[in-house]
Amino acid sequence: MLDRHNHVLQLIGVIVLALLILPLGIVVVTSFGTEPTISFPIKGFTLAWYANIWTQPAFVDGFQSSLTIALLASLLALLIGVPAVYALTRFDIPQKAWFQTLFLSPTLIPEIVIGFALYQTLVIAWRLPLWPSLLIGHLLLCLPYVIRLVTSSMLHLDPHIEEAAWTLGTSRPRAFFTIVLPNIRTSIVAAFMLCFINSFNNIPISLFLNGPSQNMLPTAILNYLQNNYDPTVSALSVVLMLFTAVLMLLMEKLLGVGALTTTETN
Amino acid sequence: MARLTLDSLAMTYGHGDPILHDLSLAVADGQLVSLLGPSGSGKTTTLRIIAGLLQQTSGTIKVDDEDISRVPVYKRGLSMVFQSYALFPHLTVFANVAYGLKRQKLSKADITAKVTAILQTTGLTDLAERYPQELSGGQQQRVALARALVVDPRLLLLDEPLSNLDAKLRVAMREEIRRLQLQLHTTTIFVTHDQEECFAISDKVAVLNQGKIEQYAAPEEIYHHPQTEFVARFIGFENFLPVNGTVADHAYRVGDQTVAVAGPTKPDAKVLTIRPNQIQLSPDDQGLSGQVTIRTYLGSAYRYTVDSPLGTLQIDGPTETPVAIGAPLHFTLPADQLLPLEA
Ligand SMILES: Nc1ncnc2c1ncn2[C@@H]1O[C@H](COP(=O)(O)OP(=O)(O)OP(=O)(O)O)[C@@H](O)[C@H]1O
Ligand SMILES: [Mg+2]
Repeated sequence: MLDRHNHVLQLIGVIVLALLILPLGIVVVTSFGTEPTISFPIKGFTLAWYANIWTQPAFVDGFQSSLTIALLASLLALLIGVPAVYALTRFDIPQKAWFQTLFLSPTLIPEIVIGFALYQTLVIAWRLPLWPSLLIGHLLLCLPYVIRLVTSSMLHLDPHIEEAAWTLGTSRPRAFFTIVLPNIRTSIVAAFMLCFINSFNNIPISLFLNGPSQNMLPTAILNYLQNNYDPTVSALSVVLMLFTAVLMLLMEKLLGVGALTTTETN
Repeated sequence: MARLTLDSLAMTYGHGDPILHDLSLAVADGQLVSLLGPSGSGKTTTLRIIAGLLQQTSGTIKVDDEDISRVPVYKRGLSMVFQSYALFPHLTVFANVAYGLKRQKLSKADITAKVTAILQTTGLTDLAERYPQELSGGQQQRVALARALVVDPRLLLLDEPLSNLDAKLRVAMREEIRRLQLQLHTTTIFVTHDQEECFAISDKVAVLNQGKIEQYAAPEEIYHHPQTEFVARFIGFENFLPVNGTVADHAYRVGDQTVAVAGPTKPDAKVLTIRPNQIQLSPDDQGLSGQVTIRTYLGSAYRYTVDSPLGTLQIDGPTETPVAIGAPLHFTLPADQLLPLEA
């Protein structure tokens, strides 16, 4: 019985993996094609499309803005989210549930609505420049990930370990950094990665807060695809995949083996 | 190594009912004092107030002559061992123990020396590089103790430190705690709801009932002379006979019976109490008689629930001569074992 279960599971695993990998594999292959339009299978091999990425200012600028916004939004989300979670889980705050809902609410609203609403308020009504508006939009996108992941690991953390640190002569802020933070590190790293990837990939919010002076990579790719259907986009996708993979590996190396792949248990 | 004085502590959480009322307690230097009481009686609350983890509503806490009532927890110099041990999961045993010393201005060599010494004392030397998750409950308990003791606290506060251990280990660990406490001469407050545990190791016991201390005395005194019905019940007295008057100066009236006691009667006595094993079975059908309604086997004895002219009584009898349910049981109440209680 168990054996059959295992086989079924394995089969499902293989199918899912195939569905994930196959399209990616095709993208990788098409990025080397010599045809002027994306086609599969390819007839010849060239690296020209990779070179072409760097000749497109929209891509280069877009990459830079997306990277900056994603990093800043993720960091800001952590700086706001982690203390907020700490307060919500450790102090008796009136209206606790209300705050919790507030912080998580961006996930409940379609992103396209958030983008539109922010455009209306920040850009049209308040006449805020695009860049800060974009940052705020991406911050809203990121905050729920931080709140959710960090809350669950804070709830798993025995509140007495912090108290033990205090009784041993450690002030509250110091105990936070030496005792709480190391124990919720995994969820912070995971939250950062999710924030970064989601912000970096986001289209709906960026779409509204984009402008000629402020281009984001995903929207730049969309724009490009509307006029061209050449393998530059495939090449760019491959570069992005590699970029993300390297980033993951770096985080994993910097923050300890297993930080991203294991779930927090203590 | 200090005296502790609690003076009229009161505590109310939020807008709820008061949890502690006018609680006062004096603990002499180097003593181990237990707070004994049922669940919800305010033991943890009291301990957390002493530690500074909770702010009392009123009253003062003094260590020696220093009033620490408003001193923040991290400046009190008291160590606490939590029921869950609360070891730092991301640190090794060694680093857990060294943690408190890092806040003191000590050289690295001094820290290592102190940690090594306490690990030796607590038998943890071989486990120094392990992480808490890799330790058994008893070992975690030792680490928690070592971590609390290494900083040389003025007071050691223990909140049911043995309740997560199995029965055998509990006995071994409580002796270990007592040994360390005597060796280091650390004034200690030990919270428990297990009377046997606290009688075994305490210099004095404070019995807590709904936020009030009912009796504060040496274990022997409490065992033999409980002052209130609550204390008596808590330490194994099962029979409480309501008194409705005295007969001369040697007996009380219970219902329509006369029960003789040793020594002069107290006019204010409300109940007479006696342990089930202090009531004597009379083999020759003398004395009072009752009917067995329940029989439970305790291993060393049978405990009978007996309907008698004095009311329902709990009586222990030998296992060699069991009495059947429904059968009559004859017994006498030894006059020198009956304890009159005034509250
Ligand atoms: N944070 C709190 N808010 C409100 N009431 C509380 C709080 N903590 C404890 N209480 C109440 O205070 C009373 C005493 O609790 P406390 O934890 O001191 O009891 P305890 O003697 O340690 O019991 P136990 O043996 O179960 O640990 C209980 O009635 C409890 O419900
Ligand atoms: Mg308690």
